[in-house]
Amino acid sequence: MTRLLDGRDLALGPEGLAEHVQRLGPLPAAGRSFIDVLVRSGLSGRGGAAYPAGLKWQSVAAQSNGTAVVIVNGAEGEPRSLKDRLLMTKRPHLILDGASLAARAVRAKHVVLYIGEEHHAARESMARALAERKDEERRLVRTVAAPARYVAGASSAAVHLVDDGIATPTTAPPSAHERGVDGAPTLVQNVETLAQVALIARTGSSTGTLLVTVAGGVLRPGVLEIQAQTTVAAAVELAGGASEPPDAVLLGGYFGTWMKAANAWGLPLDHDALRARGLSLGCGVIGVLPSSRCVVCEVAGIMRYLASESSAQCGPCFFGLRALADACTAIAERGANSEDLQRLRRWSAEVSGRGACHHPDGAVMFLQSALTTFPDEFAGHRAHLRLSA
Amino acid sequence: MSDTLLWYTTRGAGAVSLVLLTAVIVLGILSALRVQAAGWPRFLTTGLHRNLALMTLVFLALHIVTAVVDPFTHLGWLTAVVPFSSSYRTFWLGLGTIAFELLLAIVVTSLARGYIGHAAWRLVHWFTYASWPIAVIHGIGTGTDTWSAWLLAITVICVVAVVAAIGFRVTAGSRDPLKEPRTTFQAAAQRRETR
Amino acid sequence: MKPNSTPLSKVSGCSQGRFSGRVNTGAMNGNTQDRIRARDAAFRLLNRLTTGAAVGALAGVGVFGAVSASTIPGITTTSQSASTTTSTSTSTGTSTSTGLGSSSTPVNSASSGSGVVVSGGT
Repeated sequence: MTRLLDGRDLALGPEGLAEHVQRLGPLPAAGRSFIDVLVRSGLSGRGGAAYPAGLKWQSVAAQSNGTAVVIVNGAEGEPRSLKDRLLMTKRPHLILDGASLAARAVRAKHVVLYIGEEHHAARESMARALAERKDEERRLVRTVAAPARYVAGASSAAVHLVDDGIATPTTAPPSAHERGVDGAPTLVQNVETLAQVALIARTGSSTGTLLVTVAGGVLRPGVLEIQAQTTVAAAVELAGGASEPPDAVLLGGYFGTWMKAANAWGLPLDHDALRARGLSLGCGVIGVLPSSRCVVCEVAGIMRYLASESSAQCGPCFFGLRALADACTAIAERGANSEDLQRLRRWSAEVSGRGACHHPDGAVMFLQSALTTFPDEFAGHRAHLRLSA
Repeated sequence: MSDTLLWYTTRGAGAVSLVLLTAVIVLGILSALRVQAAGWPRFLTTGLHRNLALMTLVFLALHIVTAVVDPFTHLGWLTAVVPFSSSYRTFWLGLGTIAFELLLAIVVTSLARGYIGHAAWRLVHWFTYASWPIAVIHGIGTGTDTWSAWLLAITVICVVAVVAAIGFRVTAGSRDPLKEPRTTFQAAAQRRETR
Repeated sequence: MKPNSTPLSKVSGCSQGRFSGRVNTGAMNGNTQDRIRARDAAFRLLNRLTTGAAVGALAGVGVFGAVSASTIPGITTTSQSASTTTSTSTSTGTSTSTGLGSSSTPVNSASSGSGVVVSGGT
């Protein structure tokens, strides 16, 4: 059974076009009819929202009359996620195959490769791979650098950057598939999703695997390709096992969910299975927090980061997240008093649902999950000497 | 409960509702203008705006309930929800029903903003500029007390306050405490095309 | 099938063990404390203003109710010595003294001619 990371040894450079075609065969000539195949495959997006790819392509194709735009989203704004970079650096032709299929299926006029401005290896690899492609493909494609900001990886930010030059996220309609870049229906798809598409076009079904990034207190942090439904424990084992007994697991990145490690081990890594439990895999980051590190201090640090990454479009996000970060830092650095938890609750309520985009809501949910999972740690936190990171 | 007491309560609650609604609108306008000062952050304006909006509904409910329950008004509960269905002062009372329902729509959509999305919320919120004048006219047309000095004074003050706030909004640009951080973000988040 | 077991951390250059990435170390300073105090004070002010408004509104119902009672009192059916109802015929011209429902008889009533003025309604 094929896997995304099959083929050339990952310690070596990117897989070139010749090797790619030799291994997988040429890219099938598929047009709009491919969308049905995609829908049947049940592939869900790998950018974090897990929205069914086939349905997305259908919406864009329906609106397109040859004017659509495809944005290949390799921005990877989540700091601890490495999977998109890995795919771009090692298997660029899978991604370009997927992009080509998308462009044909939705009848796109332009394809934009959206790659992080600081992710040099990925940009170089994709550029070299693009140079190997057929003229008729290359003509449609341009590369746009994604700013190194947390919010720049969001679909709406990608559309805004390509369209009016600034990577501002929004929730306001219209949505991208109706009116995106230049008012044209726009398909924004994560690079891992497109890599899966490349294999679906050849075999009719997805690989049944997904890419996760295991980060934090494990011996071999990095990207793993795992079978869907693999447990968190198994994934951590594959990453070398925990370096020391962990207390907490953060699933899904900085907008994800905190869990006590004991509760996390048995969880199946699969979007639908997790959603049924009210959880989300997000962009696939599994953060293992060793017991030597303090949850409260980590949460405070991440809140400070999320606050500093606000796009300053609205008061609730810029001032509200900063206030929440302040309050978390106060608990982390001087210890908690009786008012602190109440303050966090009250101030969180003031922020929720009032932002111009989803950033503040994501941050608030991250904080809420920490507070509900580790109430004693927060309530009883005392200042302690922190190891310089 | 004495019937006259119901009547006085209706009138008193009506006047209070008008004052509260006026405060809500003025605070809403100040919110949009992003007014702030030392010791008065913006969330205070929006927070007070929200709290007073809920309060307005409470006193409006008191105004409506006492009017309907009063045996001498012969108003049924239907008149509170179906405009122009009362036989008494059909038109002016109907306006009150409309103003009430607009306000209800605004509050309900605000509470459910997470479900309906920002654009829909914003659209309904504009009804506020219809709800208030309709409420004022309702008060003038239906009220026993229209020409009584006390209510006249209240009405005049409320109208002046809203007109002044709207004038302020139209003339003054909104101050923007976020200008600097937004500019910083935009500078960092700009497009740099490669090829 | 074993996944590729190359230690990918080496390849992609991420650092081991650090969890929260960039930001950290000693972030609390005077500014933070000031901001927390200021926000707390603002929330307290919001609570006080809201409570004050609620109390004021309740008082207002009482005061305005009383004022309205003294300017245009209603009289129950048992009282014959009706006080003068100041005419509130507005431009709509509907009646004040003959009770409810009827919008047809414009009456300029300086006194309650029929001796019965019913409260409520107008």
